Amino acid sequence: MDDKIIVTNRTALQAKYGAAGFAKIKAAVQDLIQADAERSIKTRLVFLDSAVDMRRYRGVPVTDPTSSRQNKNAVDAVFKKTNPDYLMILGAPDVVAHQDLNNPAYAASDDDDKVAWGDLPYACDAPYSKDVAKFKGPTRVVGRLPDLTGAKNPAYLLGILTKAAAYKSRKVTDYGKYFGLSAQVWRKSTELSLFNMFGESKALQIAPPSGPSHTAVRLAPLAHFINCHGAEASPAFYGQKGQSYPESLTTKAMKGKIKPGTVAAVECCYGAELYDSVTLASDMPICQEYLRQGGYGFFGSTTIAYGPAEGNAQADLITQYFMLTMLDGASLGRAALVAQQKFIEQVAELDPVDLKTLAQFVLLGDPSIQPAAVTKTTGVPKGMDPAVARQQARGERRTKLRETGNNLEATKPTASRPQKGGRKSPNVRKALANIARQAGISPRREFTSFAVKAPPAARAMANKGAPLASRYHVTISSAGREKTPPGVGSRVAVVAKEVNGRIIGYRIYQEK
Amino acid sequence: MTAGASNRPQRVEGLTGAVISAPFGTGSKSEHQAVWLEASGRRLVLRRKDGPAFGDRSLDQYVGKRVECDGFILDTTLLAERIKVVS
Repeated sequence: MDDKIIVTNRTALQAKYGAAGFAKIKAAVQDLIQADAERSIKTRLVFLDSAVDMRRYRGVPVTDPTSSRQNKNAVDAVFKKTNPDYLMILGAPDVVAHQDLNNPAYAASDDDDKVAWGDLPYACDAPYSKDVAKFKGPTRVVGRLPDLTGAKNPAYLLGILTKAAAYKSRKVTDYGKYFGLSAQVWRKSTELSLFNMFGESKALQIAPPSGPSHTAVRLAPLAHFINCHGAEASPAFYGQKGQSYPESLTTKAMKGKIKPGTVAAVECCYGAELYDSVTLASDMPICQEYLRQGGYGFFGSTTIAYGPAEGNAQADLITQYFMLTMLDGASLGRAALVAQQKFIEQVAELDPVDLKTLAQFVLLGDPSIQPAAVTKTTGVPKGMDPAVARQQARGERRTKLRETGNNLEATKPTASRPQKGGRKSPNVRKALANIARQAGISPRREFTSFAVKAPPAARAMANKGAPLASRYHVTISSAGREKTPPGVGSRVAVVAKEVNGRIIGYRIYQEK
Repeated sequence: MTAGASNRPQRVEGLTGAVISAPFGTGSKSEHQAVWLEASGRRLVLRRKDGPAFGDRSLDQYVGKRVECDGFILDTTLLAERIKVVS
């Protein structure tokens, strides 16, 4: 039985790199497989477009590498047959497609992402769908080691494959220091995040004035946490103070300063977007520059991300969960899966913004890399092969993760689809108008209603004291709050929760 | 829709439309006042290909005008290599 499956697309790689380039990539993958074997991980390379390979898994070969459906079906066939401990997707979305989940928070001109691209469905047993609510029970450990989208030269991919093969776990204390970077307007939220992860936030860099150039010493810590602005196809993150948005970090300014072994958790919009820097003739994405320099992993968002003005939620939480689990000694892939599961667990119901968050955060990096080694309290008796013991322990962890994922799938209510013709009672209308007024937007602002879909087990668990929500009402408004500078902090998103005909809570997202 | 479509820049030449200033990413982590191009029935964030993604004041001169652009269309953005006022 294979512990780790690497999936890729031979035709797509050959089209990008030619026969000679492909041969080099295949050799580099063999080196990684050998290195994995020395770490007691049995790895197999599977070409999703190969009839021979897919016959082994009773699957249908992929004919279009950019087809989300074909790739999902093929990966599911592999899992059904082998259920590996790790799935590594090798290549950018022009080799193995991201999944094309509809963005439940889509609102033209406010959240323009029709699709929340990501790899979440690859981590789930549920069949292909565009509805993210179908993927609320992730159970599989998944990561993507991406080449450059649109590339013709395999040097980048060869480099990161070599680095993945040569990785070494470090003492967890080596990850005790961090590089923290925040837009000035989100300082409080980022301080809280850093405190939750590292117990203090003294080293936090605020942009402005910090960036875009940082000294090598400042970037030297192996744990990076960034909470800044980002934009589509942009090799820069941005800080913010008032209406000033200076660059806080750029691909150019990072060169030669990222230490091998660095792990980054990044909240920025588009932080993990694998845009085609080759066709655009621009600098490569920051996330890929991390990997180029030997960073082990980057956990970030493919599209527009969300978080509240104060405290922590959405992007703040899922990135923290990833970092905390990695610091607990997990592999990168397990850290990503636990982050997804914890994120789902911590809410009573997944509202449209929660669902987008879940869909859009991806792990870039070899999922079997274990950056921080933590001393285990369970010993291995003499005569027992440590490799067998490790495999046994990993199997037990996977069983537990599967139980958790299955439980979430069976019990977690979701609100992903707008309700057509859903009428609001006068009480609900009045409450929404009051909330809108409080958020600084017109009380006549229309809210879109999302009916909560609860699995039978969730309904059975609900009680009089804590009944299930019946609907969520969402509005994303461009109307301005008073007393804020024009264009900045003047737009808000409001999510209100209805239970039995009454609005019992709401959240306002702004300036995050 | 295929995933690759989101990552494949589409080259355009002579794309004409009206430029407006309006919020982007309301309530999100990239919320800001952006410059948009309304062209061919869709609205795209207008950026200079080699300019900053946020706060590019050099685009203000086009707001309220019709322009013709060459560049690349992405999911929601036009990365312009050339912008010319046409009226």
